[in-house]
Amino acid sequence: MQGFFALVVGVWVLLAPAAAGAAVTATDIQVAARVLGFTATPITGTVKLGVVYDPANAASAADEAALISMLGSGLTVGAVTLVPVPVPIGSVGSAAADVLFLTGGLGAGAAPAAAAAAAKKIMCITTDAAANAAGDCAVAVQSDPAVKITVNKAAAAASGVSFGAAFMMMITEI
Amino acid sequence: MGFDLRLASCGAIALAIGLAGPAHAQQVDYGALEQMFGQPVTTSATGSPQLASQAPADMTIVTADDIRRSGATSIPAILDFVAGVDVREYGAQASDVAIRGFSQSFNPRLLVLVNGRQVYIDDYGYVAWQAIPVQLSDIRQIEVVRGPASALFGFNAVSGVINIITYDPLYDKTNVATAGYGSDGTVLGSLVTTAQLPGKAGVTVSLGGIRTNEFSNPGGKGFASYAAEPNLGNISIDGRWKPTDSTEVTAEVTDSSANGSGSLDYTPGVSNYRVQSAKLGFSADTRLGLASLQAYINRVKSTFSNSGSPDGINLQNQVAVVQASDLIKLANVHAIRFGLEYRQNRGWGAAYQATLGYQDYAADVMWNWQITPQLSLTNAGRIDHLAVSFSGMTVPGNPATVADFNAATITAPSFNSGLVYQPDPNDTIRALVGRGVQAPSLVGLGVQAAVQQGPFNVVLAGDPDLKPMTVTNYELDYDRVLAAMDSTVSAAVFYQVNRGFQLAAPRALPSFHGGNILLLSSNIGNMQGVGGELSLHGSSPGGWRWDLSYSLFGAHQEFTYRAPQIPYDFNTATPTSEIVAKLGYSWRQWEADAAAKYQSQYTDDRYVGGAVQPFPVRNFVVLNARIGYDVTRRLTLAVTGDELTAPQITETADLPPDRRVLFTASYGF
Repeated sequence: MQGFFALVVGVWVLLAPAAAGAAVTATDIQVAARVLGFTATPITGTVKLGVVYDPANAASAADEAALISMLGSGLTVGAVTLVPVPVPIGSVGSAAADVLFLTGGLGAGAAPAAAAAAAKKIMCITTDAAANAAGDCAVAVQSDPAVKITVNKAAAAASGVSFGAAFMMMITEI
Repeated sequence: MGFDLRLASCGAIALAIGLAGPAHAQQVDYGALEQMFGQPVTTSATGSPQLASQAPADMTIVTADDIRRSGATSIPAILDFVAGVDVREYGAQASDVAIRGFSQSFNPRLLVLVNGRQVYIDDYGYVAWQAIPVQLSDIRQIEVVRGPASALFGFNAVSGVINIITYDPLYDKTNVATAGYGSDGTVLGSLVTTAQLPGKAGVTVSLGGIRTNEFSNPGGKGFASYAAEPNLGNISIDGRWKPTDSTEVTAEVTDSSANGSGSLDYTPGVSNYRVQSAKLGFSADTRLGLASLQAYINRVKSTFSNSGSPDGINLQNQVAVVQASDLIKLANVHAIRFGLEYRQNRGWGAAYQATLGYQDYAADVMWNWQITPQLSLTNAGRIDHLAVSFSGMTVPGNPATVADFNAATITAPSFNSGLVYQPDPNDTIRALVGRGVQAPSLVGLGVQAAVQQGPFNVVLAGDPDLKPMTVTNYELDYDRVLAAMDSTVSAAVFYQVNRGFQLAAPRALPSFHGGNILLLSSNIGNMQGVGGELSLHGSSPGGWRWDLSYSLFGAHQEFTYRAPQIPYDFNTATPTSEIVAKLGYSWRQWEADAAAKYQSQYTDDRYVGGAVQPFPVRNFVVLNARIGYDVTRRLTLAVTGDELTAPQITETADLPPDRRVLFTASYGF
């Protein structure tokens, strides 16, 4: 009998999924692009995506490089074409972007992004759940192991971003 | 037959609710949400959009790809391979569908809707599947909910709900023409086309029809009447318009006709349907939530005839419904939906010798509480108050008077409660309990007929005091994603208590009353059901897909009497076991799929010559297969074979389905 249970447990462990990685993935970008279509006034067409990064932060710089590579000269997802614009965190206040994508690992250094989003009344999206929780970015997306979208209500309100009721039913609000 | 003042008043109140507060945002875009979350989205569990995997209901979603790969030409043929669903094919275009047992001809236990509009017919209480005005190529998904859902959908969602969702002309551009030719003189055609200003306005026109020969009539089975060439045709025009980013107007009209044969409440015969509908809706995304107002009207003309009634039984039924709801999220973790409904239902025709109907007022509320990220609790409740109306004269010999009919009321509560626990993204556990209400059919409430049989005057009388049947379901579900196998395994066990089974007058126990033989509609007892479903489904990046399921069901009934003219012996009327196995493979331009089903023996019934004849149906296996080839990016050719294991298979007491082959060409434009 013990052998049977050991077999069951073994199969269970074998079938369990691998832990998710933290780097920005192509699926994260797809999810982020779809989110834009659920704003109160849907964002469509060509969108300048300001990829906010810290050149001095290795993780952030790696994210930026990966994003620029994935987006190329423009990535079309549904009704949106994302055109990347690298934005060093130090100059985010003057960035010519329609939406900000905050790279990971900035920690407290992400605060200027929140200020820029609030000043320009534009959306900030990130895969960095900590930055979202801290209110530095309105929307956090995660695609692995399952899609999860989190909206920081205070950050969203500060940047003038609102979503449809149906969308809000399906996401996590903090 | 127009709307009355109360209906208009209710609509005005609903409109006021719907327009409360300023508007921001948009309505449910199934396609975009599905693409974002990577899995189907449904509103059939709570009225709120949810991932199907997180819904507090045991649900299967049949996708557009599933439908295409099935090669099926009807919705019941698709549902035949869904776990827990029992399909009885009584004719080439006549089927009854049941969920979780208690299968019966003219099944009254399953509510079916198209985009939220019921296509259930209230006169006998059943679904004429052949008269549903939908082209298969226009269906985004078919949501199959197992278990009662009256708290959200109202009457008759007792064994389950099937919600057919078509593509949204606002966001989905569907342009496809299909033509088919096959054995037994089968000819079919359909066209679905969309004109669209993306995201602003769109209209989809879908129309189509099928003509075929009826199943072969084997000698010795004594079928006296059937339609030689069943045929159907229908058209639907579905328009949607967004005047602003936060408001949406919907309008839909449909017209459908179907002529065929099959088992008409266990009586072999011929049926003719003309079904028309009109729907108008408005929704607004407001600071007070997503407010919706919908009104629709369905009108059904049906004629049944058989050797015992060659002139036919004519029934007309009209239902007008106004629904208002508001869905709002509070304090980040509470989704609450309030709903009001007014329903005016009328039946007339020779069977009633009057106009019989009811007005139903209902209120419902749903509360979904995300207690923790892993745990949610959903509670929903609804109360219906129904008042019968009767104008005309009762049949002599009916113990009830006109005043009795007009004084009759029913007040019926229903509820659903579900706890969903997801300890990790791969595991979902659901504990569910629900109580559904099956309203008395119009025939059960108010049929008025008298026939002379020998020296006796036989009176068929509806009973205004007929009670609704209630179904209480207790259920435990478990789903696990097996990532290493690209599969999901699902298990469900349930126990179901049915109270107050309704026997409409034509099948009621005879008694002597006032010198007549009286057949009076009545509630005759209770049933219990127990069973479960176990399934494994998945697909691989290499192009393989599979689906394996086992359904188990056992019934016990406690009726107050059994009589020869009563066909309902549920102890034996549902197959105990069903096994479905599906396997498919896609390679370059090719698609190949096969679906097999084993069904264990059961006893069907036929009402012939004034008595019920039990008809044992032995174990059988059906095998369907389809091969499709994309000749170009737009043109697909396919060949489908149905019932491949034998020339004819006895699946019911009625005509046995033939082996059939169908060639189709579909062109997307």
